[in-house]
Amino acid sequence: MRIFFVSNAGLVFVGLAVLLLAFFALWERNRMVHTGYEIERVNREIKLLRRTHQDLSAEREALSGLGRIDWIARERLGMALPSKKDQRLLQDQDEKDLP
Amino acid sequence: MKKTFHEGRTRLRILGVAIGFSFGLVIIRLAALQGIEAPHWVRKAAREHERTFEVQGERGKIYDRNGQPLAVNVEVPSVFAVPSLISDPEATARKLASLFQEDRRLLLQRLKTGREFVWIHRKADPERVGAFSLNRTPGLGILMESQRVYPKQLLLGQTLGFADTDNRGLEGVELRYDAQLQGERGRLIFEQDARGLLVFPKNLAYHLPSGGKNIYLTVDERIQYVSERELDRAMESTRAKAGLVITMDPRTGELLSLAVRPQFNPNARDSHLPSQWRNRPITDLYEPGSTFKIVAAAAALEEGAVRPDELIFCENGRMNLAGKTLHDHTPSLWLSFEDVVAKSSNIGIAKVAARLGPDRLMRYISGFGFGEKTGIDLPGEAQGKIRALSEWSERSLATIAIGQEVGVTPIQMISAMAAIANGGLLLTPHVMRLIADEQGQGIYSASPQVRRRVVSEETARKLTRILERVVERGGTGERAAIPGYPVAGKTGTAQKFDPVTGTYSADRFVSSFVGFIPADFPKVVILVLIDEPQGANKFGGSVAAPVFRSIGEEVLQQLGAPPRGRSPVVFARAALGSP
Repeated sequence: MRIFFVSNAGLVFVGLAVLLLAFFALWERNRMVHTGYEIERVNREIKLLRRTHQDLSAEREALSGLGRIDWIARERLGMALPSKKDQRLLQDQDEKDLP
Repeated sequence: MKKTFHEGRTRLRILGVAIGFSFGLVIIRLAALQGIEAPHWVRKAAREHERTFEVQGERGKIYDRNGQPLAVNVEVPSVFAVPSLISDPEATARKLASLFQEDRRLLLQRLKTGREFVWIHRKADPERVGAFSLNRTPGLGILMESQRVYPKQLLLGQTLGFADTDNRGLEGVELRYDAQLQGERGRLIFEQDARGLLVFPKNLAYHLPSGGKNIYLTVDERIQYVSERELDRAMESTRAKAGLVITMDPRTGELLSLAVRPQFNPNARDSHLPSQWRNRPITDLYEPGSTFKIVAAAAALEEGAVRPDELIFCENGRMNLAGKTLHDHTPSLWLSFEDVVAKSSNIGIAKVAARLGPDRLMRYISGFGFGEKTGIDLPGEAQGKIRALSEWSERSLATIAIGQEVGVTPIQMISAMAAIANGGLLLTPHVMRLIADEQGQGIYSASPQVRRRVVSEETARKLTRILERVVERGGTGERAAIPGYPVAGKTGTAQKFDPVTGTYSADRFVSSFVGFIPADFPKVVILVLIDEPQGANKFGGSVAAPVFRSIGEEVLQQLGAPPRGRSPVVFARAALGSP
């Protein structure tokens, strides 16, 4: 009778332990899947931001083209190149190679 | 009763055997599935649950020498289809054709192919694709792809070249440095759920893509802009057919600008003819005319065949040469050799060439790099056309010395002038300055490559002084003079050869000017070439020399060379953190 009781309790204990482990594994898997979804969402966001950054950088470069700046300065703002009299030449004292 | 009992036991046995047999079958099948057929089913499951992505590393960027981006990447949508999932190919083709302005029949053909994947429209306008996304149809999808963009539009178009839809370089720097610019492909394996959402990377052993190397060019965006702007102005005022400007640092062989017209925008290469994306400074030959006289002049000085102040009889502008008459633009009787060059006397140069003889002249022509490729790091370079001595006629010695009967590339011409400017060394011109990794760390930097010494430093100095006379009052290139700077250069006005009549055209010219500044301490060599200028005055001194001056003035400011007679405001750099 005692052996029977011990055996049954042991079996129940082992069964519960297996069940617990199974639940733990399932929980872990579930967490992993959710973390995976979260990572994918963040990756998508990074890609989107990166794409936006690329687009904006290309746009900035196009807008800062010298031809465009020259045109705006002359045509819209009525600017002109300074005459020789109005120019001040700056020379770095470290520039030894100039005659 | 007994009989019934026996019948019942028999039935139970039959049932037991049947159940046992069925279980046996299940166990055998299970063993087959788990053992023999396992690899097949594992593969099939992987196909269902795994998605493998081939990821192309980002193509390297191209910058100018100051780090200004000239070629970058943006991501744009490409539309694809899985034809087996499209229920109504006709309607889908109709919708896509109107959206992307493509041929409906071609699209329908693609949708009806038995293939699992077909491209509908690659690298499409994001706005159009946005409209399409709203009416998403099963079987159609979008993939983001990297596209090359040239943010400065026309600037340096022919030299940058372009890349194709698959980001492979096809022309210019994009082609020459394609191996360095290309990134490495990577492979990522993902597990996906029933809805097709990605769950997690399969394992950590995936191979990450690596981006291509960045290329820093020797070209300066500001000098390039000035070159193109001034070339455009000259083209407009002369209504010329074509034109180009090259600027080069004579001390290193670095090209600072390469302006070519007609213009080419690599962002819209389909709207240009192939002739427009040709990089004419290195692919096209022209007869240089009088600019080529620097070769005979250098040879004569180096060989001691003439002294700079030696008087030469110039036959009052007309000289018989093997039955034909050789003319000078301005008739003269006696001219010093300096004035022969300054006034670009054909007769004077022909007489000096006669003193040299064909062998020596040919040696210097080859020495200056004509008739061979310069080795510039751009694709499609022509080697020029210099006939072998055995093919020379009685007139060839004189006509070649004055720049006829030869085909040279503009890059050869400017390299030869750079050799005079730097004291006699022929350098390899180049456009690549630095190759750097994604973090900006330099991997390879170009250094000046000396091909050979062509003349002594003394000869180069003497010739420089003579070339300064060209730009002084009375010289053919006086309109190239820049106040405050000594300028050395040579004009050229070459009649174009008409292959139909077999003679030189009377009204089609190539006008050019090549020179360097400051003459006593050269910082830049500039070649201006205007092809078929219209109008009354077509001489290099009238058409090309003013362009040289305009560009030279601004380039010298960019390079920080102060004019003579004006004291610059000298400043010192304060150390960081100093009060």
